[in-house]
Amino acid sequence: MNQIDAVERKKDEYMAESLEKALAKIPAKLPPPGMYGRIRSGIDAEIQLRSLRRKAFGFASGFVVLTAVVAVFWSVLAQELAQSAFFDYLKVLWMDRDVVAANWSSIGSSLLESLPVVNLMVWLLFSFFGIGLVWILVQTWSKTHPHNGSNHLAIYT
Amino acid sequence: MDQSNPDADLVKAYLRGDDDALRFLYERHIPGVFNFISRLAPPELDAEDIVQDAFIKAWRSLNRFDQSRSFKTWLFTIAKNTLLDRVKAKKSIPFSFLDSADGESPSNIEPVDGQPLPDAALQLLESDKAASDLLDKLDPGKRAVVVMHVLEDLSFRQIGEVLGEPMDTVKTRYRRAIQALSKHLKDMPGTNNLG
Repeated sequence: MNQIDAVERKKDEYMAESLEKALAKIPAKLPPPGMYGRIRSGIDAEIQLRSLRRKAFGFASGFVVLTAVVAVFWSVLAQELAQSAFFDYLKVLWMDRDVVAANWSSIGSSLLESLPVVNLMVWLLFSFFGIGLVWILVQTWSKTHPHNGSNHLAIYT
Repeated sequence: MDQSNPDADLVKAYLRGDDDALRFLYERHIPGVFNFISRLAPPELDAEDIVQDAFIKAWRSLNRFDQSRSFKTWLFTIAKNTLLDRVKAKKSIPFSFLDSADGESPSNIEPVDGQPLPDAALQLLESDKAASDLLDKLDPGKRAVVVMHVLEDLSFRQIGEVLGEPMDTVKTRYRRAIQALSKHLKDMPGTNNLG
């Protein structure tokens, strides 16, 4: 019985070898030319997307910080405005127009002098930074998500 | 450069910033992975897309690649998983399509009919199309093992790593594949009067 098993095993091995030799000659299915280029485009698109996401995150974080700063400065500015004579001069502008027309120059100067200029400038500066960041965020977002909703950095191009 | 593991050296070089290393590394393996995927992917799926996806996934994980492992085995594992993900997404294809149709226990192996393949039958395989068609007759589970072992020169141990199966299971599956191929070959037109 062992001899028969050994013969059967030999036949198995011969069959396997014969088939393997035949199959090994099957020509490989070759990738189309430029396959690496296609893969590389996908990788580059992903690198660009990651960079844009990092920028977007950075700008969003900056925007949050700026918003907090603007809010703080606004409360300081509002307090200083309330304590200054600015609103009093504004009331005069609305209530007594004849007096304003006659003394517009000095009333105008007083109005401007009553403003807390330093804090106002700082607040305006931070606000403009904030608007600038929002604009950059929108630009960054639109690069990755154009109007038709598709991601033009889609890597399978 | 370490001659015994050029792939690991190329990975290291790329991670250090040498972009060309990635090109060399990938161009070494694109043909093999493409051959593997295109022989296994159902016709409904785009093999080029899957290959591209697989290589991009490999790129994402390159910094986590264990350089003591075989890069080829690791890459084929990613390719296989990418293929399975696509199959899973395509609900019309059964997800288990890489499982063999029959059981894998050695006791299920049918006895060989005792006849070696006639040389004339093997000569039919000299036609590339005939050989390729014969391979396509195998179910995907067996075909995967044959493609990886015979065409892509992976060892049974490596194939086991790729498929996540024990080596013995892979060997058994391979034997069943050879038996199935032999049977299909004998059933091919032109072999009726042979052997």
